[in-house]
Amino acid sequence: MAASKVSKKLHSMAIDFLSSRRNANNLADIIALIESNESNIPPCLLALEIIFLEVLKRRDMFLENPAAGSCAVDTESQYRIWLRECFDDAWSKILAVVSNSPKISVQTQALSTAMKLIAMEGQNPLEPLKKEEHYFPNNRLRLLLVAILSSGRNGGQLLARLQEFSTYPDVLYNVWKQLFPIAIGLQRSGQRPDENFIRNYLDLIDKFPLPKPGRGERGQDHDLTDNLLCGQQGHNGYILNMDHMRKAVNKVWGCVMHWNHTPATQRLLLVVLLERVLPFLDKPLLLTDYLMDSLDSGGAISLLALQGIFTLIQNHNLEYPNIFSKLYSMFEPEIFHTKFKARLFYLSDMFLSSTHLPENIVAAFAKRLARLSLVAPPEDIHIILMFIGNLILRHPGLKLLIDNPNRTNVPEDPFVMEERDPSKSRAMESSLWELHALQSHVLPGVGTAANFIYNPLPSVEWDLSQILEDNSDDIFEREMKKKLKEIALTFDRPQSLSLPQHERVSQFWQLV
Amino acid sequence: MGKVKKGPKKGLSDAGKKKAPAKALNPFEVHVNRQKFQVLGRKTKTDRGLPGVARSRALKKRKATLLQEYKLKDKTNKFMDRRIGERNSAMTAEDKMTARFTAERMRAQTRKAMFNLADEEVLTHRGQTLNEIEKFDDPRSDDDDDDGEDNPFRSKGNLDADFVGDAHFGGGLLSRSNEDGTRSRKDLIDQLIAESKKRKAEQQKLREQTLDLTEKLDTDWKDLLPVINSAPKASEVEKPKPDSFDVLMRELKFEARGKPSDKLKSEDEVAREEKEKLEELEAARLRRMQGITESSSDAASKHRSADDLDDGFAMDTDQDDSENDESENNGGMDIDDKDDEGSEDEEEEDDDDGNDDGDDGVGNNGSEEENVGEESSESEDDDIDDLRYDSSDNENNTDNEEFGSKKTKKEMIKSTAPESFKQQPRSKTGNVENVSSSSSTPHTDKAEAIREDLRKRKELMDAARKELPYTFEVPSTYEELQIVLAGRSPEYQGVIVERMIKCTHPSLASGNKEKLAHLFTLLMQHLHDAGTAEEHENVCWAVLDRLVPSLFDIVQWCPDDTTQCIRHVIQEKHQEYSKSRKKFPGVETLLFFKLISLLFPTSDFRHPVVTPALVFMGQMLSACRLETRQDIAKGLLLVSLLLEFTVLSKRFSPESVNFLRNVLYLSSNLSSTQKVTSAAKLPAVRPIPPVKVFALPKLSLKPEFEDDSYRSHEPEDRLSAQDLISQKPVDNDFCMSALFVSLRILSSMVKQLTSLPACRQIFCHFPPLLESLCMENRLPQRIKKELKDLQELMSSIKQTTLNYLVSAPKRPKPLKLYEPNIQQVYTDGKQHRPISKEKQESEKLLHRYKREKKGALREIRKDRDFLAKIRIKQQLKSDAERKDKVREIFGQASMQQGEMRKLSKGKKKK
Repeated sequence: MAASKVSKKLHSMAIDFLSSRRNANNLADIIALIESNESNIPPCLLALEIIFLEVLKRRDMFLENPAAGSCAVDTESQYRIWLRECFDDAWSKILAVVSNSPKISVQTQALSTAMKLIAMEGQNPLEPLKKEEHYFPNNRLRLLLVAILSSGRNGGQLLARLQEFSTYPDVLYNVWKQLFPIAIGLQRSGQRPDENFIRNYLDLIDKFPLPKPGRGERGQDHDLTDNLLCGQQGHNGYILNMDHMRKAVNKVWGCVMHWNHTPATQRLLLVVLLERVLPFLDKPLLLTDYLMDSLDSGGAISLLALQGIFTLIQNHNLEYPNIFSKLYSMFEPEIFHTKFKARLFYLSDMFLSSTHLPENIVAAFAKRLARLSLVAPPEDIHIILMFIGNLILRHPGLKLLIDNPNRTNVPEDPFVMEERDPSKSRAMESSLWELHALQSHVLPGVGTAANFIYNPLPSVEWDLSQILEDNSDDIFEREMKKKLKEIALTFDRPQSLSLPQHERVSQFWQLV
Repeated sequence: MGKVKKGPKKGLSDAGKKKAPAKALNPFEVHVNRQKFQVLGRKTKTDRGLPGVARSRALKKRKATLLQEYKLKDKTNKFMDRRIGERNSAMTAEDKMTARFTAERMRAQTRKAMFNLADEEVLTHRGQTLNEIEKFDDPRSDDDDDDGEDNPFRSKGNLDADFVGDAHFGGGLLSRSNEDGTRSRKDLIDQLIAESKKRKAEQQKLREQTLDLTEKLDTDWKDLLPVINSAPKASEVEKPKPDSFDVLMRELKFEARGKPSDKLKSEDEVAREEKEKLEELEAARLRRMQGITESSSDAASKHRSADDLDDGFAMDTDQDDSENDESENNGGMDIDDKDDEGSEDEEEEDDDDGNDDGDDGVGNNGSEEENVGEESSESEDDDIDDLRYDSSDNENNTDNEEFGSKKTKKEMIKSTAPESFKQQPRSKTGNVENVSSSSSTPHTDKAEAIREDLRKRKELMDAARKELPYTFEVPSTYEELQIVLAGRSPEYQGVIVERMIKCTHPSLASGNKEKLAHLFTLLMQHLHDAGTAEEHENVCWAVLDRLVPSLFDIVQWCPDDTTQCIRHVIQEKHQEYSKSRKKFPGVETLLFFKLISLLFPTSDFRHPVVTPALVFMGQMLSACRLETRQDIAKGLLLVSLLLEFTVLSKRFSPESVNFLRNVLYLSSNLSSTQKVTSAAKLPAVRPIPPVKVFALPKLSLKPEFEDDSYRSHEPEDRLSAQDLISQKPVDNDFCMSALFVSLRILSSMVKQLTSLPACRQIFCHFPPLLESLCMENRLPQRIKKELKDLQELMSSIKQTTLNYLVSAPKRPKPLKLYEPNIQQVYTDGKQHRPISKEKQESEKLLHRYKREKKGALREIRKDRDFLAKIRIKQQLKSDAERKDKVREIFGQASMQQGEMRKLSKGKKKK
């Protein structure tokens, strides 16, 4: 009840303020009220929104000569200057709400109020414009962005709200333009950005995708005026300047790279780099060192770095001799329990897709994967089996691994699992006994999949992409769906908990 | 030519026969489709037709329908037939009549008609008024009519022909010239009248006479009737007695033939059959283990010799035989059961047999049941060796007894009670023996204790049997079951369920199977609830222990329903588990895995129940965190279950190996002392996820003894069910027994997999772990010994040589045999293509659709022609009319012209 009362009161105050200048003090009251009580924030925001949208529309704050404004004497310009001060004050309060309010709903409300005000100010500038200039309240946008970025954990949801505005080309352009000053501002003030800030910053980059280079160039002769957030009347031909964008991206990235990253943010950084930023960088080869460093940190980070390096090799003629041993060292038992498992298999399938690789390297991969399959969960064994099968198909020399009639036996497996260099692992002297063991895997699906070593190889490679995303639930579902005609039953009637024959559990357990 | 002539004649006669009352056909109207070949057995529908008749019929129909419509086209007025039922094609003619009649009656009942006296209703029957019919109600009249018809001349005083001929037509000249031509016409007529009167009188008299006679005859007949009726009876009595030989012969002839029964088997034979049956079942199990299904084994092993003529003469008869045998064996159980049902009397005998068989091996075993507990320990070894055969025999016995009818229930229960007891302790002791043999040190006192325990339990069971009522209804809802079972000890519950099943044995009534299947689902729920009970009263394993025999029986009777039920349970459990993947599910879930291993053959390559369970178990082992004592215990239970599942098939599950590796890692000092950084450097001793590599584990299984107490500390042989549920923290005792158990599981797992060439790779992570465990000095002696044994086992694996993989040698391609491509030819004139039923059906429909479409098109075309003809006829008619008119007008005009001209000529002349 109290809340609705307050909101009604505030609403009437706002209306009064707009109707007559005699009630000018209402504005100051509202601004003061916003800090008084947590529950007052939403109605205050609404009232401020009503007031300033109307004021901006009426151009009540418009000053012909801003420089002369300070020494103006007539009441009209004094009032205008006062209004401006109020507006600035209110703006800073709104931003404070955005960055500090504990409630996410209040934060989003403040954010949308701020964006509405920006839009209105963009449409009705406070100062006279130069000709053909597109006005955007950049200052306010920067402050807003800083507020969002420093809002801690909730940043993600705010950014998701902000992302809705990324369809406006002018917002997109100006956000990118403001990102660099934010970053450099931090650096100059000597602050170290904390983890949340970095995460939000990267999230922002991720959520404001740059237009594809091809599309952008076409956009130059494309009139985007209809689709502007702050389109002033009488201005035509808004052009998304791709060169400026590129420059902004490069500058931003130069800053971001040098921040202090935790492993989590570094992973995020790499994801953003790979998926968003890399095509826009002027000199991607400069990333090589950075990627090399990340490559050594292990786990998902090195995997992502590897993908970056792969892109560099593929598109930018990077020469990196050690790449295969790096990839080789990535196959560790822990890989099966990371999120990026599918990515690793996808990547390594690409890396090893060339048929001109030396056989001993490929054989080392096959053998290492086979070893890993002995500890892997069933869904990964499937992938590994197909992967090895594909390797053998690509490199017929590897058939020696599954069919070696010339040699009879060895006392010990010649393959050296601990060797870091795939070319020295002596894999070609070995044989894939592990696959033979997998034939008696406890799950029938795996057992039959491993049978391929005894059957003639197919002429077409197995399609990995279908099973990369499989998980063990899928296997369970598949087994549940399978219907056998007859259901076999045991024929020994048990008299108690222990089996009549081959009881094992009761050897280790006293259950009854 | 001859044929053509012959054809129609024959056809006509045929047609005539078919519909006799039909009009004779005009032979010129018949069109014959001549057959080129006469095929025996082919039915020809279209060999002849009546084109003219058909055409005229069609024309008539069109005139009645299409022409009417055409005439009414574009007309606003319409002729409506408002007769009742005339436009309703569903009504038959009779319906129409009745409807109209009722309508008429209704109209007659109106107020106006009520006073219309003249128009009285006349009831009729077959067109005659009832009054008229009543007049001739005399039954005799029929005969008279017949008489009259028979003698037309004499009837009803009509004039006869001569007279009419003479009197009416004069008789011609000749007759007139005869005798009395002088007689006058008046005389003649008088004579005529007199004569006819006389004849009438005569007739009257005659009729009266016959009437009298008939009446007399009737009375006579009635007197005679009893005599006539009694006559045949008398003859029956007189029928000669059948010869005793005939009677005997007939009896023999119609006597139900005795079915050839199995010959009485000697004890040896029974035993041998039993053994063979088990062997065959085992062979079937082995085949399933290799993943060979019936069909595939057939296809794969069908050897074709080069001389094979493909003529269906198979050389591999033995295989067929074996298959037959097998199928028999699959149903073997059932068949035996049925036999047993019939032979209640033989129960005692069988019983003896079983005991005797047992005696063969054991000697003192079969004599008395009670002395099991007192059996001397030296006879135990023998006992166990023979346990398998023995238990199978006993099993049959119990089966027999179970199938007994209600009549013999009392005796039966007397006999079953000790019987099923006998084997339970035996199997128990067998297991115990196994355990102790594997641990290599005999613990006689422990075995003694167990035996003591068993005896106590037996007494309990006996008490239960005595106390409980003998019959139990199968409950229909879970609540009812709970009422019966709640508060009872597991032994009592077992007896109750056992008796429930006995009272609803499938052979007793038809719906019993469904009832039992339902009972199974209820019992599943019961087990589940027992599993979720509180810590101190958790008796779920004991309940399962007692319920298993009953559950086994139900599954044997209705495998489909129960399998569905268990699959459903697993799926439900899996869904529950997937909500929190990192936590082991409760005991009630693990319980079902043990049940599965008891009810289904876990060695099958693929099994609808076992395989999903295996996937589920693997998921749990690889994903669940090891943080508490419960987690370790549950994981170890799962690992031992997996071991049990795979003991026959010798399959390998990476998850259980990984789990053991983690347990050993946790109990070694590597986990606690080793620096986190160095762990990464030693990949050989790294734990595998879910245990984190780089972080310190949350749980250590490392036993910590401050002093020398470890020497006196002996680890428990087995973990207990209490470990699965207890909330206590890990203590030294638990650490020791967990370590000891996992070492033993590991060793049996290694032994199971030694035949695999990659065995050393599978277990390659263990030697360093074992080594670090050995370094630990403060360990009990038994664990140390176990460790040493394991290390030796590991090194022995390494001793074997590895044979390189060689793919199967390519078989030489068989020479192509150019055999004729023989196709089955069917003589029924139909096409026999191998297509599915649905496809066949759809093709049939398609065919019909096409035919109908063609017919409809033809009809439309004919309709169009018909209308066109009518239109042109109308056109011609109107043209002709117009021409006539024109001609008429022209004629008139020319006449006028002519007259005009005449007039003008006349004028000119003038």
